[in-house]
Amino acid sequence: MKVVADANELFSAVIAKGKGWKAKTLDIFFSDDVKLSAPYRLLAELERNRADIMSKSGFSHEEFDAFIGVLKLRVDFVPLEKFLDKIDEAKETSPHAKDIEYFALALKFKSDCIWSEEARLKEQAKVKVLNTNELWKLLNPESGDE
Amino acid sequence: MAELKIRIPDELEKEMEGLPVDWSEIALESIKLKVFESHLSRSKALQRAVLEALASKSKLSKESALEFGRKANEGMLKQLKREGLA
Repeated sequence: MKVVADANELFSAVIAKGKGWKAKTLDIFFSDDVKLSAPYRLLAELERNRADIMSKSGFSHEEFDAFIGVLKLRVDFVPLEKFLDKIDEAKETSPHAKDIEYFALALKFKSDCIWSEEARLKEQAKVKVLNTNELWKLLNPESGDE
Repeated sequence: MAELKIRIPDELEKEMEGLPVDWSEIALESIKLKVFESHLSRSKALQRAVLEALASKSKLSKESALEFGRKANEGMLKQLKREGLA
């Protein structure tokens, strides 16, 4: 399935606590059934906030680079030019302007869902939005509530 | 042990001269890195191990992941606004 990943899910791959939740995040990241994408501009934002992220995570420059390196291998970062024609539709659909690029990307490539912990993204009916637990359950239907 | 010869352009050789650097060591480290990157790109298990190793020393919480996510999204919106798209 085609999944657009929100920025918060990328950071969730390297959180220190919440082991069960983090394991589910990594399961999704490395699932053969999931093709992840995200706006390319998100990479630039990660780089722009490098110092702050390093300070709060405790990562060295090399560790931050390793984090970005793995993200680039798992996530298809798509330049705005490739979904620019969906920006207007995304503006009408997205409950908040901050999330326009995610919606435009999902609309352009007919993604199955946006993966995000932000409940506000569900306040529309055009694009399915699933949080980590919901997406994990969809990928592991035999696993019950765990 | 294998030996590797590298051709260095004259101009670069001049710039290298006098620098207190062990170029053999630099070349060896670059090759090791490239080999690791090659393995990494082909192995999901290794990629996952890298993220798990990073997480094991990370101080990030679920809340800070959300905070960084929101900050990144705000930055993306600012850029869209600068371009007259939002």
